[in-house]
Amino acid sequence: MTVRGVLRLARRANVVGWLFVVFLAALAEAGIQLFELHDSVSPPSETLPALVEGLSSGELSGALRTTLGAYLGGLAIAIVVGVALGIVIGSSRLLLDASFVVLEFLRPIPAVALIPLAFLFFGTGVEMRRYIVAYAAVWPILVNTLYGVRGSDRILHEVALASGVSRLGRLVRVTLPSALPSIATGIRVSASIGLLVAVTAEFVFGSGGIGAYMQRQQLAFQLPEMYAAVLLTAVLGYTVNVALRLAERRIVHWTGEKRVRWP
Amino acid sequence: MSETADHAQAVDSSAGTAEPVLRVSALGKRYSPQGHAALAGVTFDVEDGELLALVGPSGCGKTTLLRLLCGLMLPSEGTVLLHGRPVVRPPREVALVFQDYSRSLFPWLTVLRNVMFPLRRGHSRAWKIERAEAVLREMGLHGVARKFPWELSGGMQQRVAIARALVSRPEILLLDEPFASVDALTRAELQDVLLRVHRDIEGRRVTIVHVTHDIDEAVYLADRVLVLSPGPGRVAGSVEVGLPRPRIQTATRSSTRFLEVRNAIHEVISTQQRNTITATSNEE
Repeated sequence: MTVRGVLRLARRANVVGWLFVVFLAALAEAGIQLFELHDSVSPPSETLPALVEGLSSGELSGALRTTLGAYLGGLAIAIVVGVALGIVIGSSRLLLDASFVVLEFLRPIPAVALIPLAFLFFGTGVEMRRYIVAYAAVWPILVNTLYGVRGSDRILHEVALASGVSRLGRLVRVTLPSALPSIATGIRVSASIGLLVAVTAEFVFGSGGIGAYMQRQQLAFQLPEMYAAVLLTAVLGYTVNVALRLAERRIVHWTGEKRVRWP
Repeated sequence: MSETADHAQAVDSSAGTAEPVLRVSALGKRYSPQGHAALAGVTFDVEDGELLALVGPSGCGKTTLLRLLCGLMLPSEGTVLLHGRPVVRPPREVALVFQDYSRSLFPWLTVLRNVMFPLRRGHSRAWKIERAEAVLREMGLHGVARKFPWELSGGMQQRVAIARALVSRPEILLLDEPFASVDALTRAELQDVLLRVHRDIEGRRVTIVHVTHDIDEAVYLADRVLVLSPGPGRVAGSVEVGLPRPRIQTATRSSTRFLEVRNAIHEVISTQQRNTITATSNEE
């Protein structure tokens, strides 16, 4: 393999980025050992074994499964509800006007602030946490779908209209694909909010999942185990984001092109 | 086969006193009941197999007129009759090519899928693909069927838009300043593509209504040029082109007749502008 080939491969896999991660880990390790911060921070050399141990013993991997269930389930509900509502509201001037104020009012409320409220409605079980995640994750998807639907080009609708495509047909063949890039953005934003809310809800109510595991380890002063849970959450978020980006690049392949918006 | 025979008959009879394909009478359009009129009292016929050009300055309601002709919009006054029947919704027999090809092609569909788009349900998928591929071949686009529109040049994209308009074998093709946003060389090439579509596409003729602000283009392409004037849009004059076909870019454009027709159109426009100015100063 040529030097150029190696460099290209390195850029593609972002070797530099990963080397930097290793460098930061080494720096943290050195700093913690040097300044003897073991009481408050767990060094990578203890966190990683704790992570492996937690996953293989089944305790942390069980917590991961619980969190994933609530998180992905909630995200799925949010996607279905957000996209469907966004398309229905976005295709009607009346519905848009009617719901605009409410949406703009509800949207800026931080999702985490709704956890205590959602607890009253949904309780604390896995089943219920799924709905809390769905509630928090639905807003970015809904709002982005709305903007995507409103931003679909009038000319494309006229092309369909002139070809005798029905109202429902235009919704499926013009409105939905037009809104897809925007919907994809909304889903990515919701994915990070959803994880945040899922783990926070577990943390607050201590009823299973990574968040509860984290809290148990914290109360027991098991720092490496607690940090292992934090690390696992980060890996989970990263993986979901990469998966969504890959899916987005495949599904919304045309967005390299500049789209024209209409008011 | 019988379809072709019928069509040939229609062309023959149009030489006599047959009714026009499109009859536009006293057409008016206001976008709001009390608002100013975009069009008022527009009357003209489009004969079968004719290539009619509509010229006029911006704001003379050209685009509004086209939208009324293809049923995307309903008139406030007057009627558009297609074979004697009023146009109230987009008719199958009429296809429209939009001005801005970059906005009128679906970016998420390949060229082939874009061309298949207008084909109605009730046909098999295989038939639709075959039909779209036939039109693409006819338009010299068979090599790009699997590409996406944004991978093509502007001229190619507009060819795709024309191919899509032709896919359901329309009798009438309406074009809204189709070559306004391509370079001069591509424009000449597309003009000749349009002339070929008019003369013979898949063994038949297509009636064409071509809106443009380019007078030379109108004369080069058309059998007859209608001059529209603004505020509100109406027909200021009609000029028979009478240039022989086939038209050839160099020969046709350098003929004496070409210059005569062009001057006649300019005459109509300047007379009309003088009248407008006089009318305005009289009002004051």
